[in-house]
Amino acid sequence: MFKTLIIDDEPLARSRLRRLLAAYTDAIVIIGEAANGEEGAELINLLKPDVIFLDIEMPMLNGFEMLDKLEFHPIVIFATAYDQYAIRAFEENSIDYLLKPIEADRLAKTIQKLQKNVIKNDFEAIRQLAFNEPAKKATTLSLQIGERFVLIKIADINYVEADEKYVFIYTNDHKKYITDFTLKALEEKLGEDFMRIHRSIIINNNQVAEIRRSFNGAFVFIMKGAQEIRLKSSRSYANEIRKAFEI
Amino acid sequence: MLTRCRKSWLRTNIKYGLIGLVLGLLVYVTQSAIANALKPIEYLIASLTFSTSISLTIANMVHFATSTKLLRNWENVWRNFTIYYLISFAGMIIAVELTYLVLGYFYNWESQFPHTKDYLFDSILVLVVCTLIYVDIYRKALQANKLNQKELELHKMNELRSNAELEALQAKINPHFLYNALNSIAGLIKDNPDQAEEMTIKLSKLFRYSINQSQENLVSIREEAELLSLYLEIEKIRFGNRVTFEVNIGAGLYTTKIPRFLIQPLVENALKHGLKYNAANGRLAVDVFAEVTDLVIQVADNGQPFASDLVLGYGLQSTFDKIQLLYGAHGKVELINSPQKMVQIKIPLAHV
Repeated sequence: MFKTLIIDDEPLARSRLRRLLAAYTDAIVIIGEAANGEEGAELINLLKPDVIFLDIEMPMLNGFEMLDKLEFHPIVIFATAYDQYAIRAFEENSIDYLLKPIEADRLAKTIQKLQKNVIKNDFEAIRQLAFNEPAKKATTLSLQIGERFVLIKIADINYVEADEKYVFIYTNDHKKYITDFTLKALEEKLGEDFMRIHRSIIINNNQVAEIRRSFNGAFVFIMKGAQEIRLKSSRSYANEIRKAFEI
Repeated sequence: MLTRCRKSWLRTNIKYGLIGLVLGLLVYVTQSAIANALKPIEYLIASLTFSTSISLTIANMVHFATSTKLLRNWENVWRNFTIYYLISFAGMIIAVELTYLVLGYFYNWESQFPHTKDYLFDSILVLVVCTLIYVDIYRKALQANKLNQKELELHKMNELRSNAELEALQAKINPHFLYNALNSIAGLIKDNPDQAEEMTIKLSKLFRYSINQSQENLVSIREEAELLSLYLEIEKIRFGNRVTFEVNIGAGLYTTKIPRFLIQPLVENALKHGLKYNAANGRLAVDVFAEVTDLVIQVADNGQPFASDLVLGYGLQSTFDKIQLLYGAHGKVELINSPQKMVQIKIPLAHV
């Protein structure tokens, strides 16, 4: 007999799964239910179930975050509407999951697998799969200004320049935004269309109108836009610049 | 166009005139060096005249060939190569004979036309100089070609970008929500058939709205409010009273048009992320009102504030895309933490 816990934030989903599992009283005994990740983690550590049926999107802790909090590791069967990259990769790692709406036939297979003892959860694998979902490329930057956040399209950023104290973002329509982000943090957020040309300057490669050679292996970048903007690179970035612009 | 053409013609003549003078001087210096004494001044004048006239004749013929597209397509290397050298040697012969004619007239030279003996030396000079210039032109043409290629790629990328933006305008029900709702109906069918029926109807209405037969981007606030209440009712059946909802729409605004599917994704977003840590007692309010010339749409919740290193999820990002695409600089999307945590959208009333 498998001591089983159902963790799902939706009462209707829990009761439906309970009803579907009632067909397997010889294999499954339900010892509890939890309505979110936090309750779930508490119950698991307390009741030490053999199996949990786990939803992924839940308030408090989601399914993955909850697994990260566990001291005791039961067999995990995901029950989710989450038909996305990460969940498809689960299959290849013989991690079992049920897609909502749950089909009775599919559940029967899961029970068979449980009884044959073929579900072997590798928690490290789950963790990797769960948190390695490729982040969708952000196209918008949110800048905190006091209690507000201004949104800026990343493609509309012309360049970023830091002075001694502050970092400023200049957009293609010649607006200037001050930000608390460091240049290093911005370099990461802005992605591959941007590059550092100076200790204190990041430019949008797609907004370069012209590059002129200057002294000492430095370059002068003339940026697109109504106003003329010239940015001088420093020598230490010369190699990266040459590579990026094939010059 | 014509002035540009003239300008480039003038530039060509000045440039190749100078090149001719320099070459003439070089020839004179070389001749003097070989003789180990300065040759008489007539030699210098003759040398300068010949080389300048050859240079100018060839340059003008090439210029003409280029502007008549005979020499345009620099990708066809061998064809251009042949034409270019043919023109160069023809130009050289013409220039040599013409110069003999003119100089002969002034200095009363007696000479036999054609001057085939001169051709050998001049040919070598022309071959060397023209090859150097040809290589330079070819290199520049290649570079320009590469630049064009890059511009083309950029253009393609922009096109892709606007495709992505158009997609942002296409209304969509989050499939995740749809499957969850269907799962709820499957759960209700045996325990509460009436509610299962009700939910099926609501879900169909919601789906019909999202398929949007007319493909219109703007709809009335009334329609958006109806869609929102369908969505909220379904969520209420699923989650009971985990979150309480409030929707206030300003008097007289019901027929005002706003982008389709603007409010619901923001509410879904607030439920999923904003109220993530409110297992109970979540509050969510939607306010739509007019403020001078703006229409203001606010979706507020009492959940955790926006984090300072916030990465926008799909819902917020597509909302922002939509507003930017439809209203440009006249539309505004802001996230606000205080005094009330909310997403605020402002669009011009006159525009809608």
